[in-house]
Parts: sequence; C-alpha cells; structure tokens
Amino acid sequence: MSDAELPRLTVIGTGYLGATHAICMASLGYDVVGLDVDPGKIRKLQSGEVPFFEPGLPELLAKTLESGRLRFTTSYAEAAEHGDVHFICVGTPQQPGLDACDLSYVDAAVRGLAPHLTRRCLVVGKSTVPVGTAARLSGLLTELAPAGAEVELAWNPEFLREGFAVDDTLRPDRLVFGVTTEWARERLAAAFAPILDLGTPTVVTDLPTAELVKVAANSFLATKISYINAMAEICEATGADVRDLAQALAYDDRIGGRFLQPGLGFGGGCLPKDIRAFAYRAEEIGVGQAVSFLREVDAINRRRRSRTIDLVRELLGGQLNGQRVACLGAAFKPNSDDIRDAPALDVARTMHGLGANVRVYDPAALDNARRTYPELRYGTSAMDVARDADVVVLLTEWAEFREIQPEALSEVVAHRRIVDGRHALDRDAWRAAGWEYRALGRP
Amino acid sequence: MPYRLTVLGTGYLGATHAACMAELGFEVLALDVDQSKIERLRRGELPIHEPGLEEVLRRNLDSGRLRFTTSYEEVAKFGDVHFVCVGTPQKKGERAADVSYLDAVVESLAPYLDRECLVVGKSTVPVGTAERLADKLVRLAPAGAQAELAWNPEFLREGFAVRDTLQPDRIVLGVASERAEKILRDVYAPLGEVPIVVTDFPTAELVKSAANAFLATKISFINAMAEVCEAAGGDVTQLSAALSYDDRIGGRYLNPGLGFGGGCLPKDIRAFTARADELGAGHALAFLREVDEINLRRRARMVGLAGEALGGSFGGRRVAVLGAAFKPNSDDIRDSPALDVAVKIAELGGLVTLYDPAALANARAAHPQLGYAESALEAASGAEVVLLLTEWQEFVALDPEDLGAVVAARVIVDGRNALDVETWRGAGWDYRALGRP
Ligand SMILES: NC(=O)c1ccc[n+]([C@@H]2O[C@H](COP(=O)([O-])OP(=O)(O)OC[C@H]3O[C@@H](n4cnc5c(N)ncnc54)[C@H](O)[C@@H]3O)[C@@H](O)[C@H]2O)c1
Ligand SMILES: NC(=O)c1ccc[n+]([C@@H]2O[C@H](COP(=O)([O-])OP(=O)(O)OC[C@H]3O[C@@H](n4cnc5c(N)ncnc54)[C@H](O)[C@@H]3O)[C@@H](O)[C@H]2O)c1
Repeated sequence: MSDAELPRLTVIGTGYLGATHAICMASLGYDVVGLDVDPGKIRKLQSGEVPFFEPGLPELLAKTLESGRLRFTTSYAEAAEHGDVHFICVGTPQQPGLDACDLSYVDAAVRGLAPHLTRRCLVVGKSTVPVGTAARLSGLLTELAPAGAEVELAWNPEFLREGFAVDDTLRPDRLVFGVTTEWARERLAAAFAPILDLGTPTVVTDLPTAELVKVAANSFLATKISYINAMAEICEATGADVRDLAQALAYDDRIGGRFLQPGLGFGGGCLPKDIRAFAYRAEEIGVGQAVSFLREVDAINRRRRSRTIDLVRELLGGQLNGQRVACLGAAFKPNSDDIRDAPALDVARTMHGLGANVRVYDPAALDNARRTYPELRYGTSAMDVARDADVVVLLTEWAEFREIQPEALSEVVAHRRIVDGRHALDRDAWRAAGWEYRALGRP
Repeated sequence: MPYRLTVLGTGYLGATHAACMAELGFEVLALDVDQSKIERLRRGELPIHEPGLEEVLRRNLDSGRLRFTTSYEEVAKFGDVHFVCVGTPQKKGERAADVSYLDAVVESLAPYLDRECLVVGKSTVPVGTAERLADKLVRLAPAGAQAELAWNPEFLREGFAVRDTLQPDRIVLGVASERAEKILRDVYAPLGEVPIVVTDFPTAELVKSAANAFLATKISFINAMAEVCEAAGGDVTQLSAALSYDDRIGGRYLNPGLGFGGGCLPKDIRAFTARADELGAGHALAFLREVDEINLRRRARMVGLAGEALGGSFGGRRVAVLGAAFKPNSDDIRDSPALDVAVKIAELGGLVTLYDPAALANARAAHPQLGYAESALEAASGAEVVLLLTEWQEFVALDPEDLGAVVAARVIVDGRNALDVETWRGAGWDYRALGRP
C-alpha cells in the first residue's frame, strides 16, 4: 500500500494512551496530528519531550517528529481538517466521591471536534467507557457535525500496558473493532493495516460488546489479582504459604501463572477506576448483582494495604509513631512513573498519618510523588532512605530493589527489619543475613 | 522391593487411582465399604462412565496386579502406602464439607497398622483436616508415629481421569517429613518428568480448594459478563473470543453458558467459604458466594429463556431436553445444571422428555417423574422447544434439518453456546442462547 492510500489520522488527547498511539501510528508511516487541550503538554511533545515515563517512547518520538509525519496542535479545526480517522484518547477518570466514570472529557472532545467535521470521516473511541456510551456519542456526533450522518462512530478499545506501551501498540494480542457498518470496518482496517499484516487477530463486533471487552478484561485481571490475594489472607489464617500455593496453581494452564503474584495488589489509573465504573454502570442498567463480586475484589485489594501496614507495625513491636520507615517504591508498578491510586504511596501516606517518619524513594516516580504528596519526605536512592531506618518496606518491585543485597542494606539501617510487600526478595537469603523478614501470606 | 499400594474408597477418584497405579506397575489392593461396588469392580465392571478406564481396569485385573477387598485388616497387612480417596460431600443443609468418611477410614484402618507405613489423603478437604487426622492416626495406630500422614490432593477431571492421572500437570505433596516426601516421589517416579511442589499440610490442602475456587470464579466471571451482555445488547461469545487472546486471561473455562455443576466445584467452593468463616477469614472468600449465585442464576435464566421461547407458559407444552450429565463425557449427575433446569420446567407444568448419551440411568433413578427417550431425535419428536443443556459432541453435531423434521416447532435454546447460530437460523430455527442477541 502506498503512503497516499493511508488514511490520515488524528489523536485527540495526548496522555499516556494518546501520545503513545500518535507516535506509534506515525512510526508505522501514517500522517498523524495529535491534539490536546493542555498547551504545556503539546509544547513538550512538539519539542520532542515525552511528558511521562515510557521506555522506548522518547526515541520513537524524536524519529517520528523528524520524519515530519507527526505534528501536534491545540486546534480542533486543524485536527478536523487533517483527519480521515480521528482517535479519541482522552481520560475517563473516576468521578470525585462516586464510583461512576467521568465522561465529561469524552463529551468535550466530541463537542470540540464535531462542529468542524464537514466531510465523511470516522471517529474512533479508544478511551475506556461504560457500556452504552458509544451509542450515545454516535447520536451526538451526527447531531453536531455539519457532515451529519456522513460522520460515523466506531469503538476500538485499547489494551496497552504502561511500561510496555510501544510494543503493545505495535504488536497487540488482538484488535477489537466495534462497528455499525462495513465502511467503518474497512476504515479501521486501513488505519491498522501494518498491524493487521502481522496476522494480528481481529474481533469485529457491535459497539456495546467492544466497550465491554475492555472493562471485562480489566475486571478479570483485577479479579485474578484479588483472588490470589484472598488466598494469601486464608494462608495468613492457617499458616500456609501463598507462594507455594501460587506456584502449584500456576502449573494448571486453565489458571496460568500470569497475574497470579500475591502481594500488595493493584493500583494505577485503570484497574481500580475501571472495575468501580463497571459495577456502577451495571447497577444503572439493572444488573448490578452480576458484577457485585467486583466490590469484593476491590475490598480484598484495599485490605492488602492495611495488612502491609499491620506487618510493619508488628515488626516495630506495635507502634509506628516516631519510627523511621524507609519506603522503596512510589509508582503503582515498576517501569512506570504513574502514581495514580498507587498502593505504595497509599501505604506510605497512611504510615505518615500514623506518626511514622516516612522517607520514600522511587527510580522514576519521585517528581510525581513529591508534587502530589509534598507532606512526605523523599530520598535520592534506596540506600539513602534506608539510612538509620527502623524498618524497610518494599512497595513497588523495581528490578533495582530486587537486586539489593541484604549485606549492603545491613550497613546503613538502624535495625534489620524488612516487609516485602511484593514477594520480590529471597526470604531465606534475607533471614540468613540476620534480617527479620515478613511478607504477605507467608509464614 | 517396590511399595505395595492400597486405595481406600473406590468411587470416581479411587477406582481411577487404583487402576492407574496398577497400570504403572504397582501391586494395588483397593477397598470400599460398598460390597456391591467391589463385586462389580472385581468382575471388571466400572460403576461409572469414564472413557478408557474400563480397559485399564481389566488389563490390571487380568495381570493380577489389581485386587479388590472390603477388609481393612487385609489392606493394612498388604500396604506400604495407603491412598485415602473417600467422598467429602456437602453436609445436608449446610455449606460445610462432611469429612466423616475420612474419619471413618482412619478409625477403621489405624488399629491394624502395626508397621511403618504412609497414609496419603487425596480427598478434597477443608484446610486443617490433615493435621487433625495425622494426630488421630498416630493415636490409634499400634505403630504410633511409624504410621505417618501426608496430603496429596487430586486434580483429575472426570472424562479425562486416566490421562490426568497418568500425565498430571503437577503433583502437590504436603508432607511432614523427608521420609514421606521420598516415598511419594518414588511412587510417582514412573510418571516421568512432572513438576512436583513439596509443601506443608495446610498449603497442600488449600491448593485443591483454591484451584477449584479459581475455576468456578472464571466460569462465573464470563457468565456475569453474559448477564451484562443480556442487559446491554452485547454478544458474550464475541466478548469471550476477544478476551481469550489475552494470555493473562486465556480461553479455557471462559465459555459462557449454563454454568458449572458436578460433585466438586459447587460443594468445594461452599466448603471453602464455610471453612474460611470458621477461621475468621470469611471476608476473604465472600466473592465465592457471588460466584455461586451467578452460577445458580444462569439456571433460572435458562428456564426463563425457554419460557419466553414458548410464549410465556410451560403448562402442557412439550419440551425436549438434550443432556442430563453435569458435563459431556460423564454420567455424573451430581448437582447437574441440565437436570436442575429439566426438573424446574417439569415443576412448572412442562412435559419434559430428556435424553443423554451416558447419564440416562442415573437421571431416571434420581428423577423418575421426567420423561426419557433413547435418542436425541426421539426426545425431540413433537417438541415445541428443544433445550441443549450438556454439550455432548453428538448434540453439537446434530443436523438442524434432521432435528427440524421431527419437532413440532423449530425453536431451540442453546444453554451451552455450542451450536453455530448462522447454520441454525439459516435452517429456519428460532435460535436463542444465553448472553447473546
Ligand atoms: N494509561 C493506560 O495504560 C491505558 C490503557 C488502556 C486504556 N486507557 C484508557 O485510555 C484513556 C486515556 O487514559 P490515559 O492514561 O492516557 O489518560 P491521561 O490522563 O494520561 O490522558 C488524557 C489526556 O486527554 C487530554 N484531554 C482532556 N480533555 C480533552 C479534550 N477535551 N480534548 C483533547 N484532549 C483532552 C488531557 O489533557 C490528557 O493529556 C482512559 O479512558 C483510560 O482508561 C489507558
Ligand atoms: N470426582 C472427581 O472428579 C474428583 C477429582 C478430584 C478430587 N475429588 C475428591 O475426591 C474425593 C472422592 O470423590 P469421588 O468423586 O471419587 O466420590 P465418590 O462418591 O464417587 O466415591 C467415594 C467412595 O468412597 C467410599 N467410601 C465411603 N466411606 C468409606 C469408608 N469408610 N471406607 C472405604 N470407602 C468408603 C464410597 O462407597 C464411594 O465408593 C472427594 O473428596 C472429591 O472432592 C474428586
């Protein structure tokens, strides 16, 4: 296929998802315009700076900017003029004080774009939304766009994982096309041609099913994590070892070892808000009971955080007040600087609230953490925060924390006590080096 | 000298284990308190339907390696390693497991144990049972601490029992000593390279409950998605296909339908929650009650779909039910979703005629009030609606024209999402299924 035949793409919203999508699509040879309402973000991207941590993405941004195939703007008119296929990648956060999803950004994106759509084009939702949203937006588009019914809506949920975003975008497990016409399917196929050429499996379905695939996938993953953490709770009550348990379960390929690591549980900008929004939406459409297990999943997940603090308290002989606590990790997972609903920072802040003298170190998320939680204290390395600590708490399983030698850490701490919130360390090695080692769900 | 093995309890698990261990070359003596079962097994007759097992049974009876008895004394004299395979059903009117059969085995066997031996629990039990039985064993056995307990949970699936026993995914050994570990490693050595997880009693007991809890959760997860699809106009079969490409999820146990049943999953998740309650950790497993409820709601929804297909009422209407076993390739009707649906429709006045390739005799014995037929076509003849409730291959392979020729109305409700919609609709059938438009 020659370049001339490729549809021209726009990406509305250039956060984690949108910036990755825009850059990756340009790297595949598409002409892409990325739009955001945040001029600061657009300036950074234009000057070749990725505003968040994502391995491989800065290099790809530099390359695609140079190729001239990628531009950024804050003008909806410009985006509408450029695009044959518009991808909507704006945020859908949890509404403050509610479990529901906040769709105002998605609505604003459609309202911003639609009045400029004067020719036949396809608008493709990628954001994670409650089922039924696409049908509603489809009506809104037709109503607001000068081109009317010439403008069609499709849904193409995104499954990328932060930390693997480039690879997941260029080589996804599958593509899901939620469409209402054959034309929309063809347009999407053209917009993903190089990826389809790799033999990527595609599921073509209706709008509600496409919306549901994403929330269902996240619900399953959250359920699997909370399942093994529930088993950890049972192990704690019986003296069993959840690590052996998880290993024995993983050999069963109906279960599988992935997402079966017991520990401090999930966080981030997706799983927690997505399962809450799903439960909320299910209530709205009268099938709340179908997914009420997700509330248990959420509760199990939250209990792991308090249990971790209990373990720290037990190691300290019952009192957090005035104790020096070294926290290793702030990001919600390794290889990310994302601190949205991060279990690590939740634990750190709670201990701080209980009077502990908390210091936090993270290889990538320190700036974000400092900005959001200025009340906490931060250090420049694991060794730095561990200096004179009464207890060390491992909260995000960065490789550099896994590799810490117990002997090296022994040199700087006041007391050799460690709580491993992620089962990241070799228990026997740490105990042999004289450490009191505690982990969730193990004796 | 190779170990001599005994198997206590010769139901699904015990009969399979005994025959397969003999197949591996061990001398095996198997015991049951049910005299008639033992007589049938001695004649080479399997009291259950299990593909391939009867051949293994006969071969090893003929070779003399496999024998059956009802005498605990004989078993105790003979065996170096005793596998306990008795049932642990749900207590009547409670969620908890009834472990009294296990206690009975230990009480019957222990008094005859006067030399070094290993007693190995294979039944699925509430965590903490092994420790209790270990004490009891030492107390009651003349050999005292020479009679040791180990726990070795079983993961075989009915329908694949022989293969699962001879080629297991993994072996879990809950042991209290290196001696016990060594004996069990020796016993399973003929299986070749199989991952072995060696752990303590509670972890070994939990692996089995946890595995079943996960599988039940996965089935109910996709069925919950079916409930949402029904309300949102989505298609759960496409949803399931899209999810299964994610290998953190995987396509196995992700088929939406009428849900799980049988002698294991339902009772095991209930027993697990009951035990967690006793331990003060009930909150950890509260999600399993939701899993159970989702599963039971699928049966109600199936009855509802069948009723809708008939225009609202079952009274005097002819309903063909295909399937009685809780799953294909089995004659097991314990807590079978298919039979549950059939019985409910009959209670609502439907004239039910049921066919199953293997479970007819069991179904007839348990529910004589239903009508039975000797083939799918006979069951369907004159039917106003056909319900596919167990996905036997012979039902999946049914030809819509053949079936269409005998029914009174071409209306089918596919409780297992097993048929091809286009084909059936193309042949003029009103096709309905759980979780799809
Ligand atoms: N981050 C992930 O790993 C991931 C993965 C899959 C799906 N998703 C989904 O993708 C969506 C976006 O997530 P994210 O993590 O990229 O969020 P984000 O907060 O990083 O990015 C959202 C961006 O949208 C911009 N925006 C807001 N209103 C706008 C408007 N009216 N017009 C244009 N731009 C606007 C914001 O300025 C911001 O840059 C969410 O629905 C999320 O659930 C995220
Ligand atoms: N069936 C399976 O697929 C399967 C798979 C894995 C684990 N399990 C577990 O294995 C155990 C047995 O299950 P099953 O399906 O084989 O049950 P079952 O009911 O088919 O068999 C139990 C047998 O034990 C016998 N028995 C009862 N009391 C006895 C006693 N005191 N001494 C000797 N024999 C006695 C019964 O007569 C019966 O033949 C249960 O704990 C079950 O959860 C079963």
